[in-house]
Amino acid sequence: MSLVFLCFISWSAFSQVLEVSPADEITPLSVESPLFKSPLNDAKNPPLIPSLITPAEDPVSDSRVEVKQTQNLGKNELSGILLERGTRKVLKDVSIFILPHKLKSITDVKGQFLFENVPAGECTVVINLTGYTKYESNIDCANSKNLKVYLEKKFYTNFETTVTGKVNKRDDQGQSLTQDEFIKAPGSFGGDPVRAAQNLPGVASQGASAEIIIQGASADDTGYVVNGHRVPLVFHFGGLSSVIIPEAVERVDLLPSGYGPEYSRAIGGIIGLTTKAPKEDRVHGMAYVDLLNSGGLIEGPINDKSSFLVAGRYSYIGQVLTAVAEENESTTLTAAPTFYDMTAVYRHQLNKSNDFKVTFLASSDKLELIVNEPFDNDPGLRGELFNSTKFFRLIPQLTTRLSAQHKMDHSLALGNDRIILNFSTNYFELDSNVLSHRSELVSEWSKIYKTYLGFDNQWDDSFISVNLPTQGSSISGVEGPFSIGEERKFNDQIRRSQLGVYLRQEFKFSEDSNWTVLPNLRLDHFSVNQDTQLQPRLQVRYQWDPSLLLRASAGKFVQSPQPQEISKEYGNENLLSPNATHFNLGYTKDFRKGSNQGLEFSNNYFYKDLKDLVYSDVEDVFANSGTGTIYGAEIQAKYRKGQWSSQFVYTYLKSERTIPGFGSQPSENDQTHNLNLIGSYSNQLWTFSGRLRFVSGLPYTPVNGATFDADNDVYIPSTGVIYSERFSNFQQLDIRIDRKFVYDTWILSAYLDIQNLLNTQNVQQIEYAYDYSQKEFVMGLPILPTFGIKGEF
Amino acid sequence: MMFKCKLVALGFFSLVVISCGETDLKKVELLEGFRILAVATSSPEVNPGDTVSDIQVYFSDIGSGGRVISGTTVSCIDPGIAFGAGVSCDHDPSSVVGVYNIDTATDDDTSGLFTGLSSATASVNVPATILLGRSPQEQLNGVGYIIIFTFDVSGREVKTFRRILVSTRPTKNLNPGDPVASTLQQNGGALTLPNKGDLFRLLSTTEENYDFLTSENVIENRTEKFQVAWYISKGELDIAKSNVSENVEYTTETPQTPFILIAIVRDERGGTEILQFIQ
Repeated sequence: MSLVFLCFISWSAFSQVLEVSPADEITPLSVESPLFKSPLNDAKNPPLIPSLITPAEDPVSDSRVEVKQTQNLGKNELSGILLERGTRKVLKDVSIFILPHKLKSITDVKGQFLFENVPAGECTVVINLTGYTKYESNIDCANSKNLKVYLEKKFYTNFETTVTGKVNKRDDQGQSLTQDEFIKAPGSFGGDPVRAAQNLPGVASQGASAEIIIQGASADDTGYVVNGHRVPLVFHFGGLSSVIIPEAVERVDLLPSGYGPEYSRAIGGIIGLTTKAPKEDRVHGMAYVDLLNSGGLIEGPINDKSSFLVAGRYSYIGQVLTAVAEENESTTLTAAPTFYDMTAVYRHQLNKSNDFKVTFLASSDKLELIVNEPFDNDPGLRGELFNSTKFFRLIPQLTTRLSAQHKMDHSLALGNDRIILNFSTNYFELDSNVLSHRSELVSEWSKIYKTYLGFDNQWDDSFISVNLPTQGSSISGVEGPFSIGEERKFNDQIRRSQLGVYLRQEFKFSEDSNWTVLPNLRLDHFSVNQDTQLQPRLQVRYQWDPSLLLRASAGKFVQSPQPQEISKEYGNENLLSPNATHFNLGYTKDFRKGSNQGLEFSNNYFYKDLKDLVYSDVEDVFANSGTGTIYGAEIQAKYRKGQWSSQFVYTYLKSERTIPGFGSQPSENDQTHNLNLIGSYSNQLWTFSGRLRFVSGLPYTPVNGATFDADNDVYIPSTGVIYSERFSNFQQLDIRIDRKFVYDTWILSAYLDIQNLLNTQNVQQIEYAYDYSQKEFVMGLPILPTFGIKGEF
Repeated sequence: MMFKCKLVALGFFSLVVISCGETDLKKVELLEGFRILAVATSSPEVNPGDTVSDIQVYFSDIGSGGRVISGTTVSCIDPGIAFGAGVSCDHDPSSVVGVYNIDTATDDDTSGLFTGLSSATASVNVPATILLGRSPQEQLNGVGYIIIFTFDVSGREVKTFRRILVSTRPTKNLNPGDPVASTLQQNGGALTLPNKGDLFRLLSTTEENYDFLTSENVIENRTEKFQVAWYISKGELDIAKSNVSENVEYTTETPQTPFILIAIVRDERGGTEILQFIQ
């Protein structure tokens, strides 16, 4: 009776397997042994049979997959391993069938399968797994041991723009992009994570700027962190590439207004990069080359407790610039601009309770040129220019699970920042040793109360050597000529500490309460101005139903004055810390009902009250004279249906500043409308994507005239009403085409990324005649195609 | 119109090659219309309480046919122009106003090019108390006393200023060319009407040494570095500003006469020397 029942079950399973729809295709596979026999194994018909491997070349071969000698004539063993084609990902718990013998085996955790007592002769291996192309292959059952079967995915091109996979982030005021999302984002210069973050709500479009502007704040108000620790810059020069190779980045986080207490010192917001954890299943590698740079990555296990990742990139963008500059007599590049970066990660599980990870980052930019023809409106600026910016960070991190309720994270960042800028007889050199420290104790006291108690400290020991003139007023954004400044030449050693302690609390009224209240507190101390600031921050969430989350937040945010502002040589040592109060209100509605198809909609309103902003001052050089308000709304709608996905991102904002004597006016980053439309279509191997951006023109201050400085032979501009005029609106269409070529053990990807496809003339800057009586608008990037290929295994 | 790639300065710390394209902006070295090129005096640096009475405007008014340009002066303590203050004497209740008119016809010494040193002179009386309460650096290195000229040129306001450096420095600054005048050369010899590719240069031997008190209260002995500004009435030069002895190339075809080439030497401390060649 039971035998009959089992036969019935087996037959039912086979019936399911053998249901082949007309749309199904059989995966062509290569033949690696003449031992295989296939009715289709001829020149016209590619073989449909799996590869044969020898034990020596099988990297996963172990004692469990031994090649057994056939005991009974006519009865054989058939064994092998099932892997995903291209990625070599092990496929476990997959049913494999042999016809016509009605045999079934299920792959184990290593993807291995074994059939015993397989009758000799020709047989057919059949695998039908959801998400994969049906596999069917005729083989010689008598001579098929250690088969390596590659199963091909139906889609290798999932475009993740609309996929909101649950990113492990605690701050729902922020937005995150995972590697799957940013790596194929149109307009991101080959998948740069920070460039891709400019597709998010609230992030300004600044052309090729190397700065990120968040919700109308100033560039100096944005903080950049890697694995939680500050880094001096996030972009290599020109803003085309961030300082970590994209494939080594797990995700990029944008924390705009109202973020939690873990971070501070950035009243505009935070851009955070998290390096990825090395893969542990096997050794993986990647190498790519495109028109701007090339790089590679290798990662994998060292043993069962340790793994590693090493990645690097070198840019030859300088050679392109050199080619342009050869025709240009105004500048001579004496050495092509270059940049490179390196990322290394080592991870080790010390024991059940302790995980150790250390990340090493290094970045270098170098530029050398001779300015032969001085700037007409600042003819003193000429001569040899040398600019080098380097930094590295070594970031050890230890995570300790103290108990089921308590977890402790410690991390340090040891590093050095070095900037050298020589221009003719002027120079600025900075050599700064940096140590930063973060610790956090996470305690889940009960189902309804959780705390995060942490430290966030940074110490800098910097030596600076300066020979620069003082700079004129920047209130209007119209810089006076470099030549009129008074010389300041000095060497100084500056020791600076920024100490922070915070408490984050997550409180629910009951286990099943829809309310979560986060009364948070942070205390920062800045040694440069001996300022201590208490910053209460409150976040509230209400889960209306599983698909609707309401959220609100308010809090205080503080940052220290910029180094040049508080310098005793250039600035005012008595400056207070600029600060802001943020208010946020928003909601997210997910119409997808648990799937990844459909619409997800979020809407956010923000208001920022800025105080003690630092502006130029004739009496004190710099003073806390400015105040400001920023308010606006953000809408993000993501929709996915089948192979199509789209995204609508719109930000409306007003960013105003008030300065005594100058009244109230728009800030330099007041972009009223910022619209991003992103769409894509993917099939099995192709992805077509595009991004259309429309952004209000940035304000600028008109120049009404100029006064000739007879001592310095330059004109000093006189300005009209501050930021009373605007550039024309910014419009740009970027497209990207990706194609994958999937082989058994590796994948080759090719992409074409075209920035500014329509070659729209977007104003980036104003250039004036020597006496400011004429002006010309300097346009941003013209159409810029980038082609690249990437191989990964 | 010319085509070039621009190295645009976005402040000293961020120089960016940002754009290639055509530009129609007028060239700084080409003289067109009324323009002030320098404000000269024999006393670029003085003691508190001194009077400077020989301040003259060096101008070019090519194409005007000669005219009277009326103007005014106002003099006061430097409001802090190097730190971004506007060019104005509004802050100083002791500022002194005056009149300064230029007759570009009678002051023309360039055969109809209406370019030259104005015969009118302006005068300033430096307050004796200007250095009281000033830092040691300001006292030795000097503070500026400025004179602002404002002219009405056919309804257009043209404004210029210069500083008179007021210091306790025992040895005052002299103008470049004092006591030995600088010389101009063309292809290593005397000046003639230039041909394309000709090289001009200015030779000078009068760079002075002077004391400078640093912010760390260290007295440094420094040497002046002269800068030469070049102007022409026709054609183009490869660079508009050069160092002493550095060649400047005339890059266009031989100009018609009358032609003027002007070189103005500045010592970066207010000293000025003017040389001109007329053909």
